[in-house]
Amino acid sequence: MTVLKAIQLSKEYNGVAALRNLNLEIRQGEIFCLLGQNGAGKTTTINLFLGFIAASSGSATIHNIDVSANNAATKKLVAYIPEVVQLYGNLSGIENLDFFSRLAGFKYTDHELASFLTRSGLQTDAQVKRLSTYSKGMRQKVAIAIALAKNAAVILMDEPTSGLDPIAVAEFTKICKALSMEGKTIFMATHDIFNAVNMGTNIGIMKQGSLVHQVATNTITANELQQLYLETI
Amino acid sequence: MNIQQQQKNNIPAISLNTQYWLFIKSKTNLLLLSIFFIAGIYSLYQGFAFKRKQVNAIASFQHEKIKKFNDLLKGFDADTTNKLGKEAFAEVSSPFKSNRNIVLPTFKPPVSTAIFAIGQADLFPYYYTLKVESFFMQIFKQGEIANPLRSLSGHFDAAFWIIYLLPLLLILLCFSTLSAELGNGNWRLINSQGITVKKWLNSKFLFVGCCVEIMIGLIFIAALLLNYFYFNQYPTLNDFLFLLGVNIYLIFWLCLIYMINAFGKNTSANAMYCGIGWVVICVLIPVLISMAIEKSIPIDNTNISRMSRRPQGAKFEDSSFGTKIIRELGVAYPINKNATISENSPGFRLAVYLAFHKLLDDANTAAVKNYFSKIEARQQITNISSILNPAASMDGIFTSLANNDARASHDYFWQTKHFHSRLNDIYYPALFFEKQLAKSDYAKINTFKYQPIYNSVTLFYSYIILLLMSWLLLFISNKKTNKLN
Amino acid sequence: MISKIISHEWLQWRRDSRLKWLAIFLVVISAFALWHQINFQSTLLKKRLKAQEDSRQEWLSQELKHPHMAAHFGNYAYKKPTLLHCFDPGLTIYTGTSVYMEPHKQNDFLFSQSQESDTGIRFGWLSPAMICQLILPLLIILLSFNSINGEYEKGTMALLISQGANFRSVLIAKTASVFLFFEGFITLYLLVTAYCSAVYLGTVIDIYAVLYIWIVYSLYCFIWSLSGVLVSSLIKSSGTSIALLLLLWMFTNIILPRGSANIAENMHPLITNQQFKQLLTASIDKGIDGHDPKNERAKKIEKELLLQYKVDSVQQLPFNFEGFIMQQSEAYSSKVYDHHFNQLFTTLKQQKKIQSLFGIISPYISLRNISMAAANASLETEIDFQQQAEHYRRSFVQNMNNDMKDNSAYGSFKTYRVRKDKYASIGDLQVQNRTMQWSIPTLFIEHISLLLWVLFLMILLFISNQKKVYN
Repeated sequence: MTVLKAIQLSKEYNGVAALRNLNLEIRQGEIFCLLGQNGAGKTTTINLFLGFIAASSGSATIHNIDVSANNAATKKLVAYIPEVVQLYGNLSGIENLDFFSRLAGFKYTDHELASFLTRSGLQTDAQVKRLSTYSKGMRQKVAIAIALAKNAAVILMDEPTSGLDPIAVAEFTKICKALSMEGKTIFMATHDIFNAVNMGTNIGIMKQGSLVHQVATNTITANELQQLYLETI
Repeated sequence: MNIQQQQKNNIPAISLNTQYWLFIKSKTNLLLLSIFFIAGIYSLYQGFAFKRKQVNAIASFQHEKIKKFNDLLKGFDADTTNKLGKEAFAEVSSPFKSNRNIVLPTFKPPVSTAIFAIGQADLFPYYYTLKVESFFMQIFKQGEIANPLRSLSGHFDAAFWIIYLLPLLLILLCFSTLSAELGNGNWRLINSQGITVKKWLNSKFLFVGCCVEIMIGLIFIAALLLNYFYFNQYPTLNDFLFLLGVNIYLIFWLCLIYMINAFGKNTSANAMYCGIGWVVICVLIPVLISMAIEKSIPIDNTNISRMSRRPQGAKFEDSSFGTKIIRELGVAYPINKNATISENSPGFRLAVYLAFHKLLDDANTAAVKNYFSKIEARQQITNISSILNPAASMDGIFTSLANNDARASHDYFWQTKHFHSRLNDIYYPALFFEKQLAKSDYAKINTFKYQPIYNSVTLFYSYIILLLMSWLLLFISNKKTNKLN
Repeated sequence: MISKIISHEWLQWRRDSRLKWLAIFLVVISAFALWHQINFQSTLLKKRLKAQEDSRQEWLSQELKHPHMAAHFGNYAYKKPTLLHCFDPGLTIYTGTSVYMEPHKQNDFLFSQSQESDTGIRFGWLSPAMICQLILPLLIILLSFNSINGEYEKGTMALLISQGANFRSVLIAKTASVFLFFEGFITLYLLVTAYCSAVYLGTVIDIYAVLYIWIVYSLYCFIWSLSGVLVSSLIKSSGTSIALLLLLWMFTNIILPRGSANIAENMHPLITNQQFKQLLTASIDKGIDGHDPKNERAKKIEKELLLQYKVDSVQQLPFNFEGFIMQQSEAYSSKVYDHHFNQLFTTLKQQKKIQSLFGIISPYISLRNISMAAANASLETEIDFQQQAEHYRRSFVQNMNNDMKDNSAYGSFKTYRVRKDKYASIGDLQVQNRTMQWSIPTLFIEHISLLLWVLFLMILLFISNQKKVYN
């Protein structure tokens, strides 16, 4: 079943094209990794699916609902994990999760909230500490828990592993795979070619706003992908 | 995993409950609220203390004067067979003596709403002593002891708390409602949870508005209770008009800060715009407009100040001048037309002198009215300037609701003059028809009863203008926030 | 290095269009304030001179009458603006402007400017002093709030340090660039104000007062410049630093002055006129100490005189006893007035002292008090003016009573008239304006608190260390 779909999706900023005629289909359970240089259009694509910005032409749909036409409905279907996860330093992990869940209209018990955080890999004793004491990887886990708590079908991630240490990246990969097994669809922008091959099911390479390659990870090795990437850009 | 989904699809915005929960997590917010609330209580105390001072001064003044007056009246019941009794009777009944002896108090007790706004009350006299002689001559020598140090700095009353401090509180709580989340990167996460800029701002402003409203409500109720239990005053319409004005003023500020949030790019720009906005609205515009008003309505008090000089001269010895003056008084006041007093009467010179006073007062009335009307015109411009000058305009309106502005003070002045005329109506016939004053004459004087002045309907004009401006600010902000997700 | 940073800073300001607008705003509003004040004060001066002259003419042209009656005709004193009122009108806006001087009683100064204004006057009075006291710190804040943390946010601080500048010299340079800019403005503005006022009011410039004002305002400007830069260096985010500085400004320049005046009034409440009059009457009737009743005082005087001149009745005295008794009762009531007015002034001075003490936390209050004193518009100068007027009233009333005592016979109240030249022999009230030196002893606390502020900020500057905040 197709979950994310872009048809001739374009975005211009003051006459400069940031995204040109993107056509894309991502099915349920896929982990789609988008590679490309800075400014290639990865974040623009995510923003368009989130509805943060309006498309210049074309359409982005989630479960066949047009993002721009019915943003409120599509927002319920997606969760988002930004590159920099700040959250509220004066609240604990569990309080942050509670707050964001309330925003999305969910009310969970403390036990349920804790179970989300545990699922996202956050130690139980850390869950009640203030966010200001957290490392980047720990804050990332809270963001994942927020996505879990929202029970969204799609998780959009913007360079989620940048700045994480290798152990944190490994943990993150494990969780993403588990989510994928559960039927969640993950769409992520990343610079990490090796992790993309390791974690993803499909990979896209973008250049100057266009999607120039799209490959399935079971057909390519990491080295071949790196070669292809370098040739492309 | 079995997630128990409890999503309520009909929640239009982030609930007050959630904002409350987030709000109380910050100690700074609670500290700010407490400090401002304490400042509010202190401001109420200032209004209360000032009102109490006035009430006590009036009570003591009234007691002193009325006692003296009653002592004078005892002369009617004195035993006139002895010398002392005779003298006491003459003091009260003889027109030659009673002109000096009748000393009556008038006073302007603070109204219920005065507890909120001291306004100009520290500058104007609120009690006068009246004698038979020229009204203006005696009145322009009576003033209250001014405290220039406090006048310079201003009162820390509830009006100040509302006009200056509450906007400051709103700014501190709300200036970075959106920009802080944008700055720390949380905004996208919040937004991805389905919260739009409009929902976020609305809920925050609604919540802060409610908090401040509760503070105002508590202060308001405390003031009404103080009025009831200490001053024995029931709530009046003006109290509620004041409360209405306070709310409109708050709405205006909330809308203004809302707009700065909608348009501001980052936290420091927002802080700057809010700070500048506060300085412009609460300091610069009032000062500039006040200056413009001073310029456009010049006032000269030289002639008025000269009215306290006692008329003198040899002319009062001249009987033809005297006859002329008494005739003139008869024309102006037909009741005295057939006055029996003549140049041979013992009271002739006193009658001429007092007739001169009366005619002089009449001649001066226009100048005083003109002088007062200019001061009132200045105030009126301030009160209706809400479109440009919301802070000073509301301050002016609060002062007028509290009956503590120039208009109320002048009205009290004219009420005193009216009372003076009533006193003259009793005394003059006795003097001019060479009669003795009787107990029944005194009974007609009654005591002075102060009537608070009616509100000017222009306050509604200012209220509506301010509401329209708030709506416009909100409208412009919504145009902007509708574009944002 | 410091001078290079300063010139670099000024170059950046020149290229910032927002700052150009701010500068234009400052110049326009300053010019406006100056024009308004000069216009206001010179019109006032003309009006008051005319009023005083008219009053004088009325006095001189009154017909020949009994001296006591002439004294009852009374005289007026009108306060006249002095040169530096154009800079800072201070308390003169809030105190009465004229007084009616007559025998037996000390009247109040009535008709204050504030009585004739709308409530808008409570928001402040536009004058050059107001610009320098209130608006200038705001502009200093706008120029300094991100002077240090802005460099961190842009990432240029590390570059500056790596080029050999040390953190403290950056602070000094940033402070100097803000301070010198506004110092230039203050110097120019003060000179223009002094010159224009002297021209329009036709008076001489008191060089010492102007110099003194310049020094004090410079200190104030320095305090705000250094505070702005220090806050910017102590707080990481420029958003927080501007919010904090604006809050500080509102607190020290708006809330504290008002709060301190109100607290002072709560601590030393001023009595009402009603209470004051009661005290006066009681003191005159029963004696200042309550044991010297009025009628016994007169009897005592009579007895003493009869004894002294060895005569049997007052009619045999070589002077008019009625005139003498009037003099004596005038002298006694003067004593009573002095006693109670001094108590009143003491209360006001106590209130002022409390406010001055608040100056330790608000440099604005200290500056305001000093500025008012230098401009001849402080509490002390106002009290002094009242006392000068009162002194004049007494001497003129006594003069008239002396005439009665020395030249008229006992019981000739209805027949005796003054000589023709008597009225002219009584000079008009000549108010002596106090010099700067006269006011300085009253400003001890203010001086100390301004210096403490400078000292405190300098210490902060010298112990400041970037590592404390940024590491």
